[in-house]
Amino acid sequence: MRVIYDVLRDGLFAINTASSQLAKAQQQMSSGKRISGAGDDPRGTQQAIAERSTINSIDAYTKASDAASTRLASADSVLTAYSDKLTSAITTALSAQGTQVNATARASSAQELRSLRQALVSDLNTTFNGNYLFSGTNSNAATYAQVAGAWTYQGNADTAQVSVESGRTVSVSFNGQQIAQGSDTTNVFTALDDLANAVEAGDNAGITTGIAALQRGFDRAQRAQAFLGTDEQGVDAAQARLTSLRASADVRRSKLEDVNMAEAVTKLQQADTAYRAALGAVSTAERQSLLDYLR
Amino acid sequence: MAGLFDSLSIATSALTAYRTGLDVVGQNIANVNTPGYVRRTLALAERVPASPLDAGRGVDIVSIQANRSELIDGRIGHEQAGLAHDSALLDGLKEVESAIGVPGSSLDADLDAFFSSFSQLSTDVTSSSARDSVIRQGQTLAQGFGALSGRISELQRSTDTSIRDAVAQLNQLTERYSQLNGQIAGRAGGDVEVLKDERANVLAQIQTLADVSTISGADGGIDLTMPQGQALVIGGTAYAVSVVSTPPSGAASLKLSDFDITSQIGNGRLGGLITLRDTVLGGYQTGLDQLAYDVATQVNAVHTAGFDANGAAGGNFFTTPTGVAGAAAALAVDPTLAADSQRVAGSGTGAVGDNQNARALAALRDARVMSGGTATAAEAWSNLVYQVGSDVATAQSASGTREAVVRQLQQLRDQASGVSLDEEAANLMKFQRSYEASARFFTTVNDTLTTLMAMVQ
Repeated sequence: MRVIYDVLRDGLFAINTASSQLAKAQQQMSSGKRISGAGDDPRGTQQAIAERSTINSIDAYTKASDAASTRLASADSVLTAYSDKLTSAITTALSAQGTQVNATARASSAQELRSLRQALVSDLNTTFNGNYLFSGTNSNAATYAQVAGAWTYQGNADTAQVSVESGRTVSVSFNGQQIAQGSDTTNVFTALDDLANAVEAGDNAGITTGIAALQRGFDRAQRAQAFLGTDEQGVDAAQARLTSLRASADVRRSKLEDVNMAEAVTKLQQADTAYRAALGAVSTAERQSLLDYLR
Repeated sequence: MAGLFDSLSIATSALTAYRTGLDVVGQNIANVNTPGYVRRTLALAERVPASPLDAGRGVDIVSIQANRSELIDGRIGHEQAGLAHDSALLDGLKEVESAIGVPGSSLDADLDAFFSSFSQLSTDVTSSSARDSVIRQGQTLAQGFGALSGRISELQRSTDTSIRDAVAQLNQLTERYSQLNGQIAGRAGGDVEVLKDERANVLAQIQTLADVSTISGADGGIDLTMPQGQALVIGGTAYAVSVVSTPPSGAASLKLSDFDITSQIGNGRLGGLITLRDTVLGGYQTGLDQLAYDVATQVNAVHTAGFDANGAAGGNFFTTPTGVAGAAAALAVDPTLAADSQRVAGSGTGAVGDNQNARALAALRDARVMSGGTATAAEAWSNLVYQVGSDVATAQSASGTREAVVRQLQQLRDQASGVSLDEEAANLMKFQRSYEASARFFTTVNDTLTTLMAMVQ
């Protein structure tokens, strides 16, 4: 059989094949990426896009839960201060109760109660990034304001929810009326004003009614704080899950996209050897000819 | 019984034959690198003796044969056409592949960033910066769609230009082919091997452009037709393929004698370019348009259901697409919205602090509302990427296989038709020695004649 070696066709083909494999191995090594185009691994690329989408979704939930966590912490501290002030008010009212308390002491207690009422209004009117935390979703209106001499709730009964993970939401705005009034006929601020007046007047029955109203207000604040605490715990748990989910999604993404360095080094060495072998084979083939032996 | 002068004639015929043999070797060696050259061999035959007592009358040159293998040439032509088709397709696909980028630096990142911006907005729905960010991400997404759609359209246009160039080249080649074909047919019986070599060369070039069928004639001419039978070259006449710009895109249609042959050209570089322009790139463009259309309509549907920061009903987020075709190129954030981020409809109730609609828009990321309700936006995009990647991988594999087949066939042809320098060196030696021996025989006969002449003196 006549076998003809064409250096351009056969030799260069071998060199080009080895050279492109070498270039590919070098490119993978230098970039650290297994996939440099969708054609390298179509299914892998498709899965990598899905993993990246999962990671981005997790990141979005993480950011949302971070923001929610900050708001919850802020609301939590407001409710703690609010409860403390109610406790003070109850203590003050109790000390002003009875026939032994003189008018000066009662006036002083009434003054303290009015001051506490002002502080309590201020607590519920707390803003976060310019939004009233306790006005429901009517967040640009102060939670409580005096309208025609009466403390009036300006917000609404809705609350803004933030998705902290798939299928789980937490409230990041709160219904202030539920905390300050609940099912009572008057809100805690009006009750405090009435209580201060009763203390001033030495109206023990009025003081007892006022203390009971404050006690109910305290219970409502405690309940709201308990709900809030549950949400805070939920956010913490969600964040822990998100961190773990992100780590495993990133491992899957890396397996799809990134090069295994040990494997890449081996491939590079193999490609380098193949390239040198191709060059050697061509030069050897070109050296041999019958013309060299005929004299 | 022959005389001594007849012996001289034997020697002369041998000297002529072996000198010609050396010429054939020289010609073969000279053309060892000539594309399409078919090796020549010297066919010799013994001269028939005049009588049974004759040793013979020498050697005759019967012919100088060209060792052509038309069967293998035909197969190579067909495979070359396939290889040119696959290469043209692969080149175009590689451009699309680089245009779509890799995960994380392509439309998938824009889509994710867009939906994440709504998620961010939902955590602080009154924030102006969060509202601005939503609009910026929407504009980035629209630009991403527009840029990719533009690249595909540009590739379609450049492919169209390549098609026109290839047709011009094809017409030049068929014209040259027809000239050679006419000359070969006109010289029936004469030495036409050189012309056949060139014709085979031109045919190979034609076949890399389009897969044509050949019909051999008794006069040595080989006519060319398109796969469906339209004549391209008959004898010495070539029929030019004309290019017609077809509205509305102005894309080139190919016509041969008033027949539209665009869809008939399935192979060769032209076939590859036509497939790339009309089927492959057209398909990607439609897929991208569908995704852009779905994103725009789905986002608009949710956005218009909400209320903006002023409590007014939400308008369109993206300008309403007029249809699927061209949706990617035309995608843009509604100009009224873009001018005032307070119009972003994050609220679901109209209350300023409500974020239900922002959450609903963010939830679109994971909602299977694209591609007729079968995929999320990321899935729809990844399906398109998979299609491109799979097409690239298939074209690469097909091209590699074709290349291997063509090389094997070329090796097969070389076994029959190629010039082997080793073989030529051996022939050179053979003819040189034969020439030396014949010359020696001539000298011996001459000496014998001299001796004879001396006897009569």
